[in-house]
Amino acid sequence: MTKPKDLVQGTLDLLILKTVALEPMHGWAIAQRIRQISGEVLRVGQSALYPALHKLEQQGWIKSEWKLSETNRRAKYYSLTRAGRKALADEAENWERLSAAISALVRAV
Amino acid sequence: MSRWLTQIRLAVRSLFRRPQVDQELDEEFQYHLERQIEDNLHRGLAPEEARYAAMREMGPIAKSKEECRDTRRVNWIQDLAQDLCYGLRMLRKSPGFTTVAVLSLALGIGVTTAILSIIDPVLFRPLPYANADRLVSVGIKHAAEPFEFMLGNFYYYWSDHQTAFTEMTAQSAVVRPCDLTDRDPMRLSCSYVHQNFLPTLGIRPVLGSNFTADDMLPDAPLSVMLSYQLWKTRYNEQPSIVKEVIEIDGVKAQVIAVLPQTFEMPSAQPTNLLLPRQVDVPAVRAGSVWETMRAFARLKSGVTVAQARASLEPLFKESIRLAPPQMRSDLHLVVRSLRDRQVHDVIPVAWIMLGTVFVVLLVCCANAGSLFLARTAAREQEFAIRAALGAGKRRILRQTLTEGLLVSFVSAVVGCILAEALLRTFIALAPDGMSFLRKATLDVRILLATLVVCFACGIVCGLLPLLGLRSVAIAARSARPSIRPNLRRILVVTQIASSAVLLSGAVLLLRSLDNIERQDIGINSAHILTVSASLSLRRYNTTEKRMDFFRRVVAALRGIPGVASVAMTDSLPPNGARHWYSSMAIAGKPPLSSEDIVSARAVTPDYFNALGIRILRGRGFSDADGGSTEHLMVINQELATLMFPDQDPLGQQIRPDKDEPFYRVIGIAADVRNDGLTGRTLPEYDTLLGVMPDEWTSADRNIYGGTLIIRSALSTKTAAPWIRQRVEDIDPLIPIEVQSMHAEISTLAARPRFETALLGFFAAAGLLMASIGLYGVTAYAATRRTNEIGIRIALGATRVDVLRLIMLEGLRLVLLGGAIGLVTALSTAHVLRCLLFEVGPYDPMSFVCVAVLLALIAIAAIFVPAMRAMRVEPMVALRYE
Repeated sequence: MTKPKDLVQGTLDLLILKTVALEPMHGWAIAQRIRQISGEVLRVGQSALYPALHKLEQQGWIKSEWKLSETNRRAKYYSLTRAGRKALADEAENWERLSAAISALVRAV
Repeated sequence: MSRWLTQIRLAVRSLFRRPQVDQELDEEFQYHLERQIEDNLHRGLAPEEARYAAMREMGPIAKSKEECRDTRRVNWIQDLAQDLCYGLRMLRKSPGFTTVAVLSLALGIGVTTAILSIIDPVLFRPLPYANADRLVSVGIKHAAEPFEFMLGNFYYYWSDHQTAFTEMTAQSAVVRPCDLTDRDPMRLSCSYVHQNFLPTLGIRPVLGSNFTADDMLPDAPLSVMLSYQLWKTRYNEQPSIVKEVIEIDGVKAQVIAVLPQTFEMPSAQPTNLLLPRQVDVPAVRAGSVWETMRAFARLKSGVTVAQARASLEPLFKESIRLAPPQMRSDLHLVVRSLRDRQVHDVIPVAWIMLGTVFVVLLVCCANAGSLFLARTAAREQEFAIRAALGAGKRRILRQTLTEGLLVSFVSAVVGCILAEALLRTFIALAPDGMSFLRKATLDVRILLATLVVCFACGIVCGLLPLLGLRSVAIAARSARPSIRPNLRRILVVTQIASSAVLLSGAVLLLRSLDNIERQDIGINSAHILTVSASLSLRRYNTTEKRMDFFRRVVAALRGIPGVASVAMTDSLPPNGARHWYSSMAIAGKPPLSSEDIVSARAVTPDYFNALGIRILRGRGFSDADGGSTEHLMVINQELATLMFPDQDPLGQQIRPDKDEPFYRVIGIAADVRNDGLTGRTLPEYDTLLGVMPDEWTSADRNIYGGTLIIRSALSTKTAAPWIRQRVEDIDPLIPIEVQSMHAEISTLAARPRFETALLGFFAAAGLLMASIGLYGVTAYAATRRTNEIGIRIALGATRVDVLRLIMLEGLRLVLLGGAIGLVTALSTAHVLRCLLFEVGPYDPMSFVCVAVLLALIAIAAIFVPAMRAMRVEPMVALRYE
């Protein structure tokens, strides 16, 4: 699967930031974690994941380093920068507000 | 802060460590794939199957990688590098296109920069004076003199009573040749100025100080200022020159200052030495000493030139009350800014050049544009394929834009070289009269401006495909011409029209130059050498000394073998000294009222004979006349008709000026040009230079300089050393100049020749561009229609039909462009009037020439591709698609 249709535009960034906020993680693990935590609802394919990761890195919100993975191979680990932590807080707040608004709307209708 | 650092680090890394970054990207995806395979293996799939499933799940990796690369901020640099490489390759692959496009733009840049660099110092350069825009030239204008002048008594009266200026100053009207006589004599130009001259202009000497009031007194010891150039070339910039004593015309003078490097006389006359104008001021004030000068003044703040003029008007009226009434109406007050005075006669030329340059630039840009259009059309397939392969519209445009800019860049480099070369050529060709040209250097601002135009042109050229990109997808399959051919036609019509305008100008000037060079100036200039000499004012301070010198030179030159006759005159046709007709009188007649200028000349008896001037009636001077007490005069046909419309001029008594004696008219000479090559023939009277000292002087001129006319079969090269030797034997300190009469006259035609050469060059360049454009458009149309032509021939059309078909298409453009061009040329030709000699700006002959020439060149440009179309093999053409 490619882009999850039910992912609101921009929320992928939030998901990634939230995921790597816990600990440094490589791409595959990030995809797995999002899937697990969302209870198999959100599936992020590599075609969306990696461009997003690279974009966030270019923006300076996450940084990367090469480390040995749990399977003892070289993997690229992403972790949150200070700017990223602030961005995460902003994005999360935005998301709260947006989702609250949308649920309110849905309930009202 | 650290965020920016990180970003810069990433940018630098992806720019300079690209292979590594790309390899890491591969590795990252590889890792993902392997984890996916492992995951699948865990779920119990067979190894092969696990691999395929993982790959399926991951989707198109190449595309994702490209997206990842796109997130890098420096991507555009890599794209640019790629575009540049590709663009360079494309340009190299079509050398014809590249060469012509580059040359078109380079020519535009070169011509524009060179010409504007010449014009700019004339029209816009800052004058080297403090607050130069507040400086004005003040004076009286009379038809006999192109520049306003001042009379001594007027000057003092005005400067006492004027209210508009903070300061008024003056210099002597003429810059006199003078000789440095201490060691290796050297001919220089001396200007005489008033004490407040430099302070008024706001100039401070680089060494030493200004003249003092005492320096200005008559009989004060002479002090002098050196020009920077003289100080540099002759005195090696030694600061000790100040206080040193040099010798000018045999008189000791103390150097008191060195002028700044940028110094120039406000009258724009070249000057090496600045001397104090030592006059008896009370005598000048009273009008008992005649003094002509050029006056300049500095406006008070807030006073405009017009206000200053108005405030001087009463003083002017007051002053000219003393002038004879018939002269009064001929005099006008002039107050104008110094800049206006300086650019005086070059302004029309400058504007014409400016206009021409813009037309050339237009043609050049149009040509480049038209070439790019043709190329875009030829590359439609390529663009379509690239679009099909996933290149976005913006990416394609960026590519073509890069190519446009590449061409601009190469053109800019070539253009700069061309500009420098052209400028040097123009300066080398420039006649002496256009002294402002010699100072011209390439102006960086203009170069930049031109480069901007050129790059704008490159950008427009690069964006041209945009017009057709809408249809890019279908372009590959369709042979339907889009709107571009029309645009190309418009460009070609513009080019043809512009070159028609340029060509008309060039042809008119050429005709005019031809008239100038072929006109009969009234003298037989073959086998004539001229020797000009001018005596030092101080050493030859009496008329006797001067007469003696020239008479001895004439006698000495007669002794050279091979010399047929030697004559002397104070001025050589086609020049002549000016005299006011209204101050002349005829014995027993009322005063003359006509306002006119007369040419006055003093000649030795051999003058008419040596120059081959016919005596129409009466006789010329003879050697026997030299001793007679009677004053004799020969007048020209023009003066005879003017003065004696219905009387016999012979035997009449004429007085040139009120202080002079009456002269008896003994002969009427044929008219000779005496107001330059292009002026009308002025009425002229010639008086005798004989053996009486008073013949060597007259009311308003003393003969310090003269020209010897030598009729001889010898060449200038053979005769010059002999002549020099003979003159040196008489006085080794007098510099002389030996020239053939042909060279002398040719120098006078230098300016029109220069103007014609310039415009001719432009016209040729424009015409070349237009024919390239026309050729391109026709060739393109012919190629487009190859298929159609094949069908036509197969259906029975003859080759001539095909030829006609293609040629008609081109001819339509030629007719349209030519018509527009000729109409424009006719409606703008009047601006050329001031440059034309004996040819009207609407000269039918010239315009017919233009039309024929244009048609011939255009037909040649069309004919070549049309011929090629005619030879199309029907079978080949039908297989075309």
